[in-house]
Amino acid sequence: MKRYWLLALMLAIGSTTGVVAEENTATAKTSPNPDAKCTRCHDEEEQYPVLSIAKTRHGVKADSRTPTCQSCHGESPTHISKPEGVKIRPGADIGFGKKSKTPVAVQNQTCVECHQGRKMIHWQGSPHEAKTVACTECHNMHTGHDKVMDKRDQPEVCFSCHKEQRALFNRPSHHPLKEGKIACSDCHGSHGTAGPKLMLRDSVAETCFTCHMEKRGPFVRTHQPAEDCSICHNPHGTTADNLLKTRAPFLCQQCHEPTSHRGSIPTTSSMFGAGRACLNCHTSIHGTNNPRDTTGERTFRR
Amino acid sequence: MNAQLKPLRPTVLATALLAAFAAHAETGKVERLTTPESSVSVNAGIYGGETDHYGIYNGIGDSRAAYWLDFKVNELDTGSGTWKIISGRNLGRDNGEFRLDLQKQGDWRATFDYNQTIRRSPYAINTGLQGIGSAALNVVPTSTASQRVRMETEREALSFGLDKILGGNYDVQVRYKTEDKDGTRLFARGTSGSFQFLAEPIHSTTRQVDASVAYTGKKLQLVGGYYASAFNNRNSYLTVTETTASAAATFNPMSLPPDNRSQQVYLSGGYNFTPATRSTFKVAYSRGEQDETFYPGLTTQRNDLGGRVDTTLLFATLSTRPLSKLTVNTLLRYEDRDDKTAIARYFTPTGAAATFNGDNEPRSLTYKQAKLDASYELPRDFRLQGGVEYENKERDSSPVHIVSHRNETSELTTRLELRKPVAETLSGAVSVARSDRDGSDYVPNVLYCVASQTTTTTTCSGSTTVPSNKVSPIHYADRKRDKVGLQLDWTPLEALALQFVASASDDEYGLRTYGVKEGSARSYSVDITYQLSTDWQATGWLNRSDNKISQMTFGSSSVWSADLSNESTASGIGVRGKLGGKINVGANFESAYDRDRYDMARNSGTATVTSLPGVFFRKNTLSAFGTYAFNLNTGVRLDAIYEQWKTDDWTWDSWTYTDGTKVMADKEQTAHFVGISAYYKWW
Repeated sequence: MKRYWLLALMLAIGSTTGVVAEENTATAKTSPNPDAKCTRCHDEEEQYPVLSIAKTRHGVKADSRTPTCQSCHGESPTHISKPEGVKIRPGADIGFGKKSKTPVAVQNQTCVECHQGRKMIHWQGSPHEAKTVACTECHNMHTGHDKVMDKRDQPEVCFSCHKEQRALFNRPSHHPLKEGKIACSDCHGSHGTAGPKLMLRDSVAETCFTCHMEKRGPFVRTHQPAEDCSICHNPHGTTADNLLKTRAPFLCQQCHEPTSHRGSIPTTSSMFGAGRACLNCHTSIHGTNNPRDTTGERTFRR
Repeated sequence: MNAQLKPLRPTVLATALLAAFAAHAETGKVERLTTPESSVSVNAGIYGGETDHYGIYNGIGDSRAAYWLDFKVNELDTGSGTWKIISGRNLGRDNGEFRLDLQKQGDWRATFDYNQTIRRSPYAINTGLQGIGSAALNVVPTSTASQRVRMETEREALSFGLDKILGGNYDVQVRYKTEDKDGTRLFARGTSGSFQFLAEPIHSTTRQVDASVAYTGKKLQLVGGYYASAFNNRNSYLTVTETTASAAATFNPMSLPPDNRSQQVYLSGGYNFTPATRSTFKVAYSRGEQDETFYPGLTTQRNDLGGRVDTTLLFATLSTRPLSKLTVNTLLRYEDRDDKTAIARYFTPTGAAATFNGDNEPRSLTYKQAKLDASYELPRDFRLQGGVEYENKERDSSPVHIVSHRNETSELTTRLELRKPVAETLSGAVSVARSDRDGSDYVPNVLYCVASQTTTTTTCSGSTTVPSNKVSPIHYADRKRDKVGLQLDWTPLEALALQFVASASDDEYGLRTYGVKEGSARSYSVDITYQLSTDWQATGWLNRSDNKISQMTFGSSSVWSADLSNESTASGIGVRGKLGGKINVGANFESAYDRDRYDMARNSGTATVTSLPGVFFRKNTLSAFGTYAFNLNTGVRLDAIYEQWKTDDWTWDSWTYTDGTKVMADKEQTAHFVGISAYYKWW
């Protein structure tokens, strides 16, 4: 029931904030703003919906920080007024998109002029910037629905380059990315971070702990590879349960000395191969806060 | 089909929404292009077939029929630059979410989110266990009583955010999130010959707050903040009783994840020395603590662990363009995770041979990284990139330990890449990389002695009949890795785009005696996008990967090895388009096939070593939709999904817990869904 009274509360707040969009019947052609010189041609009949930038935060003129057409695309005098004798109108000074002749660094610098703080601080030198990924390869300005900003559509954008991850999320054990419950940006900061592998937090483990905080400890008995969850787990998808890279006992035997029963040969019916294999007994594998050891509990059995 | 109808709350809510916000008459083209779009849709659907696997995250309950509401009210007052966005998805189902976002652009912003995530285990469990969901379980043999249960966990998260732009390029942000997680998870206890199924009760709350102040100037940007998080578990331990005595009875009570907390202060920033030179940094200090009281009745040196881990991070980068065609990036990183948990002797081992001495084992880690990358522009937009990266990890370990340990590992990586950035018809990159990892000498397991040996306080003496100190743990082991990559984007026609990505890597491990020997990974993918006409588009893609790892160990007096492999093929094909001006249609077919192999062989000795049967997973999903627009504002949509899932996974086939509990998975499932939506949108 909690969700319904919360929704009612939000609707009440939303209804009483006194913001009602006024009907905007003025056309772009008659609007007295600096973009008029552009929209006299790039109007509502344009196949590419340039006017849709008005649906976005970039198009809010009441905010003095927002750009004009020329802030991003350059003054473009020869594009606005085709010089005499020139047959083909030159393009804008700064173009974006796959067909643009503008170097990616110049395209991106246009965005960086405004977007430099907070999560953009580490952009320069970050993996995407170093590989000359243009901002507009992921972001679309002239639309009310920028796919990468919607967690249901964001993976499709990321998968345009990250093919391996696209396949991994089809595996039986996976985070609910394709189901639309999380997005790539819940773990990764694509604009650059201080963490490895563009992790949002300062380490892989710290990032995982934001949702899996029960694994943080510290514990009386700590499982050493838990220093980095990706030693045992592949968070994008695996065939073994619980996002394990491979099933026990093979995974465990990649570290453990073959003493006692640790080197045991698994079969489909033995305790070493069937069910959860090693985890049939060693169930608290990330660590246990049990200080006892009456019957070997220190080995994550209790 | 047993369709238990849910209450018609979504319809009531839809009506309330439409009443709360003014309906708009049909709007002109310019208004539609320039005004944020709002919408509401009322949805109904029916699920059929076997949905255990399909419904893991989809919030499908026992009811086959579902009703839910999606909406987004997206209003902008252009005069003041104030946004009001209220959105909801899947409201009426078990994976609903909604959001309130109020913002005066350039001034302040307030957000509120509710998000529900449910995960239903695909396994059905036949068990006699009593008290499932509580912290007091009673193991009852299934011969006495049994029930069929399915584990599930539900997360409910509430998030709040406040932003305020202050004067002089300063702004402040506060984020707060609280998440409750409830449910049960497959758990167990056991010792040789006695394995009992248990259900771990999950009833916990995590809270996170992040408050920061930022300065964003043309040259200098700074963010300073405080991040705190806390985990609270309602259940500290699990008590387990049993109606039939077993050797597993000794494992009672069982420790559950303890409460813990962490606080961090951080400062991050960047400075543009010149338009061509920029430096960034981050410094952070964290303290993590865990001091939950041990469960009652224990006689130990301490009442709690007194756990504390202090982490210091120093991170800095420098990006510069010393020449117009040359860009250089450097990175330095130092992370020191100092486990300051007090060491105490919690029990005294009995017997001479041991891999433990009763002390707890704090684990500290110091991680250092240095990276240098350079990129040079060649003619015709090509770019040559090269780099060197050095990583060093220092770990400590107790002098008594069960797994081989080395205090230090280092890895040096060199890479070279030739890239042609996004261009009109052809772009791509080819890269090679080589990594070399080694480290300090392995520290012997000091007290690891087998029965034939005698033990002093620090070493073993005598003959060894069972090998030890023989394995390089995979993340410590010496390793040489070679990797190549290729990416091509080609647009031979205006309407046709092709993409090809391939990568291959080979790992060779420095085998001590046992452990991982070598590994390899191959991956290829092809993507095609074809614009059939102005209104129709087709896409297709294919992914293929092969991953292998070979490892060796000793068991049953024999040396044996395992060659593990995964072959994966995934593909998709889709088409979407318009039929006339009012009808949009689309269909998509995706197929995923994975095959795991476990080839095992005996290298020496007499033990019987038989390869485990391979396992395949196959999933085919066909989805289709059609929309019909009555007018610009209203319309209907039909959706249909058909999914086949098949596997021959034997994991649970032959496994029965000693209490009789059986875990079952339906290995062949076909699920289908048909849904209809009515939508209204306005501007």
